Amino acid sequence: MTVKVVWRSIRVTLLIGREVYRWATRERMMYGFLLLALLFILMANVPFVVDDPAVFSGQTPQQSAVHIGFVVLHIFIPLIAIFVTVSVLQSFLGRANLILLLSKPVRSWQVLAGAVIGLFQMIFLNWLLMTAGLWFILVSQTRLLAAYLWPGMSIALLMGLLCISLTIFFYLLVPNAMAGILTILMLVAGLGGPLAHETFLRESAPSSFRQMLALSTRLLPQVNALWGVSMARLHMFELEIDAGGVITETLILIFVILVFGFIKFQRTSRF
Amino acid sequence: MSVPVLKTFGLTKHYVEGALFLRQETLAVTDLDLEVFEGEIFGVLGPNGAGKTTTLNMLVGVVRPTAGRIELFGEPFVAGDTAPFGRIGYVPETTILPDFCTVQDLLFFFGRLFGLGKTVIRERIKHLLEVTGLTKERQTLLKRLSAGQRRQVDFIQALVHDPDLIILDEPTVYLDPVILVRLREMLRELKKAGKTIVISTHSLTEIEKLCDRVAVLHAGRCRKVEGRDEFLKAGGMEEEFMRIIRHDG
Repeated sequence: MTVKVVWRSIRVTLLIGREVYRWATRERMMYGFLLLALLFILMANVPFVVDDPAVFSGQTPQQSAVHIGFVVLHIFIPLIAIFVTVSVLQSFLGRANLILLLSKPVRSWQVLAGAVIGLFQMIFLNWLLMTAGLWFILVSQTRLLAAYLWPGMSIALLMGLLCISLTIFFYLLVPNAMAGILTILMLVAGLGGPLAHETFLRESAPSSFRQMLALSTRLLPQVNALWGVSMARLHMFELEIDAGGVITETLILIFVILVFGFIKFQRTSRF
Repeated sequence: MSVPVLKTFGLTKHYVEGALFLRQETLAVTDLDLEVFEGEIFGVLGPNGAGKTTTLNMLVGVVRPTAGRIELFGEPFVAGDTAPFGRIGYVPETTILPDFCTVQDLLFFFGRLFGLGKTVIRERIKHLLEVTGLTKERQTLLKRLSAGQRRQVDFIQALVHDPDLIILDEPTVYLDPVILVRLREMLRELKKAGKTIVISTHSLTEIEKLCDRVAVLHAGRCRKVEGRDEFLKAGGMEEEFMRIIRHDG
């Protein structure tokens, strides 16, 4: 009986996820970003055409191509994640749609879990197309398999999921486009995180206050850390970084954000 | 018409907005006692802001009551319990249907939410589209439908799982006279099949033509619950309705 109930819950959640994925992949904005990203990725051909390390700061054409791909993926995946999430949530979690869904044998957590699953599927599709585009260029130009590209770029996928979770969380607090802006601000604030972390630890503020600020600045720069892992995996720089630790931290962070989101949604979804 | 399918006891909903000094409380529904029996068409009539939609939303668990309780199919309805929804079909006042879906896709999705098998859903959709005259629009994208046709799709999604209790919030909005007549016939057929129907509307004509009993809501309170014939005997639906509203001020 319990197995049946659990299976039914999963099935309903996946059904909603599939529906959200369909909503997300109908977003014209997503195709705009994707097209732009693929055009930029095409530019990864340029280093091979120029074939002059002096032009690309002494890097080989292959390294330069990977750099271009890295920048494109790590900028466009978060952007697509944030903008499409806000756009989909505005219609999918709108009052009218929520009333329609919640008057069926559907629990509110299933609606939100479906949204996360559907949006993750959407970002996975984008990531797959972009990485495949870059990989195809590398393989066709170098005749090497370049298998390292996939695990390296998979960190962008994790960033996408982090952005989706953050946007959902902010959307539940501020149900409009401001949620996307808050997520971007959060990510930008994270860039200065390591410096702030050092500063807070050095300042002579009260210990508990310092610890709290230090903790918050430890969480914020997750994107920096993810970039580092991605760079290390793509052999872009010689970085000593605990990849496993950063990935685990990010997954915990995503989990915590989503749990808060679920609690908030559970309380507010039934008006 | 003896078994109550739906009962409410002192159902109350206060919306609270803002905080501290800006806190504003709105009384949407106060102390509502209703009883709807199996196989009847029960009308909820009232002017704008009477609390009709809030009442229906509470009945389907979308709005949490501030006080009071609900009994569905003889069982107490506990917040968060989704089991009774398998037997309820709800047409909300407004819906935003995804434009990119075809009629069949959307109905299929709702059918699957109720855990129905593919064959059953296909047969139900086929039947309901035939009854509503939308068979030709089966593969049409929702964005290509007229407002009236979309309203009919709203209606079909509520019936796809063959519910015992059908709750309709302003179902006649956007419908042209031909569709309206067809909808009335359909509701009468459903009644004959033993379904219970709760219909909320502004339209006195719909109430007169369809309902067995009527509850008049005004300013969040139930002013009168009586059979349609009693209303008609008392001088007609319109006169009686206006008398209640004027009496309340």
